[in-house]
Amino acid sequence: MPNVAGSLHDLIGQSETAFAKRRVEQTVAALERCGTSMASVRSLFADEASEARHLLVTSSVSQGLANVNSDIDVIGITDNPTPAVKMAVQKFVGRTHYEIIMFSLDEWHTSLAGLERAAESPLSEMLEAARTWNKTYPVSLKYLERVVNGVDLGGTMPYLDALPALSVFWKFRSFEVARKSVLCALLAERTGETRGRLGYAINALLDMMNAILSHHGRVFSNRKWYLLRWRSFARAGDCPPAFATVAGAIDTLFDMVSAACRDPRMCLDLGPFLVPLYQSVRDGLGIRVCEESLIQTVGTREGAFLPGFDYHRGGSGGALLAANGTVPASLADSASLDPESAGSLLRGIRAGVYRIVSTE
Amino acid sequence: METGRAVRYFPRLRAGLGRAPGAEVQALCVAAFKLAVDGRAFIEDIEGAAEQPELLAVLRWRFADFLGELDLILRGTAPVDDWHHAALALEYGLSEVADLDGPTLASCCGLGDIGQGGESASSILAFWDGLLASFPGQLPDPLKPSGQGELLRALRNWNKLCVATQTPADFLQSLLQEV
Repeated sequence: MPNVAGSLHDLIGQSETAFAKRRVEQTVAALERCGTSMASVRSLFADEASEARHLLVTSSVSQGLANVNSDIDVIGITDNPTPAVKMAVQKFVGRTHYEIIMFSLDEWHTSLAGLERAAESPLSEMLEAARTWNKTYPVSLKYLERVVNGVDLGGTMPYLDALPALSVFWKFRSFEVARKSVLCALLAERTGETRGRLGYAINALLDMMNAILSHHGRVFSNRKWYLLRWRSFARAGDCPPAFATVAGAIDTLFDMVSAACRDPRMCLDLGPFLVPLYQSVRDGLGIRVCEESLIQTVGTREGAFLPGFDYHRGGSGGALLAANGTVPASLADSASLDPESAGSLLRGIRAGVYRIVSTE
Repeated sequence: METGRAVRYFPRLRAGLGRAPGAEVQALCVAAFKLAVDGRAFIEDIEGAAEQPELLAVLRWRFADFLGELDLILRGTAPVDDWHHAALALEYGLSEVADLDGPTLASCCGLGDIGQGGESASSILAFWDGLLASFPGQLPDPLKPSGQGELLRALRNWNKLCVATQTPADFLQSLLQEV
């Protein structure tokens, strides 16, 4: 079972005060680059500020990643009720695009309680909570991360205490996507999909990076930043020695896959690299996942189509699958499936006939 | 863009090959919304990433994801999880957004380009210009002050279109909530 015990200090490798101070400085500097300031943002959102206990500057601006085209995203936390259907309000000042969305304190507390509950749950329950999160809780996953990492216009990070739970939750979510992508890359390879395997491999590698970053308290919801954050993490010397080898292997494989994308004649054999890398990331993060219960059948076989193929109805469609296809006993076994079974399984996963399962 | 020939955008729409109105109206409205909102946001990000090669490298993949999803929407297939989009597009190519095979799509998006000193995203921007010019109608630009109103007017028109074609319009609400 995941465990969020441990101090914020242990998670981020520095004092909470130092971490928050650096984020506040990054925010002030980023706003200045965008030609504005904390005071100007407060003035722009004067109506919202009058009723909010916190106005939080979020996303790339608060994490030192902003560039000239970055939007300035603000979240307000108010003691008053807010509309259940959330719509961000947009404002434009010159070339800069501002956006604000309001949540009530009650909505935040409900969502925070859900996060803390999920982060302490067994793996399968946590992942189910993640899958259904946006339909269950008023603060969606995107805004959950932004609130925790948000910098208040007064120069504090008022919700940083929730970072340990958020980090656990994010780490397992990313690990699950990496795991699914590794499996699909292997199946694509076995069935002869030469280019599709590269797409899955890139997904797997980006989510491995994000899982390791989250494990160290660097949580970000937007996928576009994963690689930049990953390389900045290494450049800043924040990556602990225990992860140095696996981090190097991720970078090497990322470069190999990128090279294969640039050359359509190159057919990269991923299995020998991807499987051990996946196992190293899993073990390095201390994630216990049952590799023997990998695939769950959730669709139904409707009947025979032609000899060799049956029609199956899945959660999101239907697919023609091999009548006698085999399902691998473990993720590593999928690298040696026969091509017909691998193709059948991959089609079934895409159509929702099969589900990739992550349980402890 | 190294396609070797002119890209033919939205070939089915250009050819006038239609489908039953319900599915077609929903697919067209969702595609238009995603082009206007998500597509324009990707392009704004790509234009801003000139000094951040790692960001640009991932945005190239995210743009391929986006095109793959858009293609499935216009094809009217059952949705697949988003981590399949780029892989499917690379393997099987695009047929609705443009008539492109996987390697050509990879070239258009500059997939795999990272830190080789050629961080220009000109091939993506050229592809995007072609998409905008070829999509039927003027897409709203919600990244400009006037674009918010344009988007709301488009949504009102689509709501009326759904009524006229007896298409359930609840997908329009879902689109708004995704923003």
